[in-house]
Amino acid sequence: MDEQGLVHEARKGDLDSFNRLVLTHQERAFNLAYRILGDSDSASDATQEAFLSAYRNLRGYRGGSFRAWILRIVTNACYDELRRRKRRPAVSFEELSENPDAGDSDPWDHLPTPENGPEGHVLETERRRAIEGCLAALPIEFRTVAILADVQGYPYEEIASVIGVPIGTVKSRLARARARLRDCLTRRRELFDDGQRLTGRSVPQGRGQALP
Amino acid sequence: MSEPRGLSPKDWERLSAFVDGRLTQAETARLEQELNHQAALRLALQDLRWTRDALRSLPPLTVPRSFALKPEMAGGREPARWYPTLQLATALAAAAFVIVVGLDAFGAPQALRTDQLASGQAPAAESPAETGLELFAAEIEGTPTPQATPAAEDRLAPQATLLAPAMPALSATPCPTAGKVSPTEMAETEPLLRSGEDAQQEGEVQTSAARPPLSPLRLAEIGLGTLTIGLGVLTFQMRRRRAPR
Repeated sequence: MDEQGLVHEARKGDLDSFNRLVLTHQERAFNLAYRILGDSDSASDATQEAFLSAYRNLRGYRGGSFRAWILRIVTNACYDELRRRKRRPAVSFEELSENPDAGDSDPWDHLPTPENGPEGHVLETERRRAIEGCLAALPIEFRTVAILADVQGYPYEEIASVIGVPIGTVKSRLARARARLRDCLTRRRELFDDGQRLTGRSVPQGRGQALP
Repeated sequence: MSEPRGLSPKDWERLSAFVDGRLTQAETARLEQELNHQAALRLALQDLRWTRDALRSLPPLTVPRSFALKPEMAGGREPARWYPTLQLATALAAAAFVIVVGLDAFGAPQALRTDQLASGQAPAAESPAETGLELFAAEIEGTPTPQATPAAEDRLAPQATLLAPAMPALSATPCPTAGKVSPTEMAETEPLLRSGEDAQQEGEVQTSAARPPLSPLRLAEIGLGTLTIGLGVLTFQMRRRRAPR
């Protein structure tokens, strides 16, 4: 059954159909939440909250890209969480005592050590942290656009749909986000000056098209 | 200063769109010409690509767990749809209940009031009953009263019938002043007492038969009160089910 068929069934109350949609989109939803919020636990909560909210409000889905609709709900759940954090910025002493490792979980711990050995692994980790640190330093509206466009590779149209702004605004925010990121990453250039391009996905050079 | 030296925000935006292949053919041709002649523009383009590559190098994460919904999590969907309607209905029922109670207490037309409904009996029955009681007491005491006229005495018998069920002690216990009453007066009083006893036996039947029916306002109060409570309980339960984890 195609996506719209699953949505149709889910609207009639078929939870299995909805869960098939969840399984299709949960990875990108969680990735978006993680990049916006910066920690795995909060990202999990926001993702779960978003899927629950999506199920309860399926009648509000008016067609179009279901992925964009879901990602919009995830983005809003993340913004809610950030607002909550702003209201309650401190982590209580009790919380820290009960869970001394809170906030230190690294979702990449499961990744295999790169072929270039432990040193290469350390370098990769440092690079990743530098990029994440620069992303986290961006204002939230720039961060979201940068994540959607450059980390997740969505086209402008879908980004505009996810965050609910015109395409011109997406272009402008993305350009400014990239400028700030370049400034930030340049300060850590030593991490990237080993003569090789950054590892990870291969990226078309030149007039690259946003990844689908 | 985020844009490279000599570059305007507009140039940077054009370069950003160029990297993503989002310029028109004409815009692309013009920018490529500029790139051939401006080293600063070429450096900026290089930086831009490097930055974008850095971001794209972040590996995707695998989800820590499945986010599929369990039936108990999804249970709150229907309530979410009906909850606002139910809230409104509860509020309206409560408001209507308050208005009806207020009308009943202060401003209702007399025809609708419970205590006036039996007006055919009650107001007329009250004063003769009081008169009858006074006459009856006066006769037992043997003191003449201004109301003890023959006409009033004629009215006494049926009223005693009404009084008897309410005052069984009066008819059952011997009166302490009985000795002072003359035989003539006793003879006059006896039928009254007898009719009171008879009425006492029929009393229970008459009490239930004489109970006035509920007024429309009282019925509305009961109905709206029950409705408000029912809707309130339902809304509360629905709210609990809707509450986030």
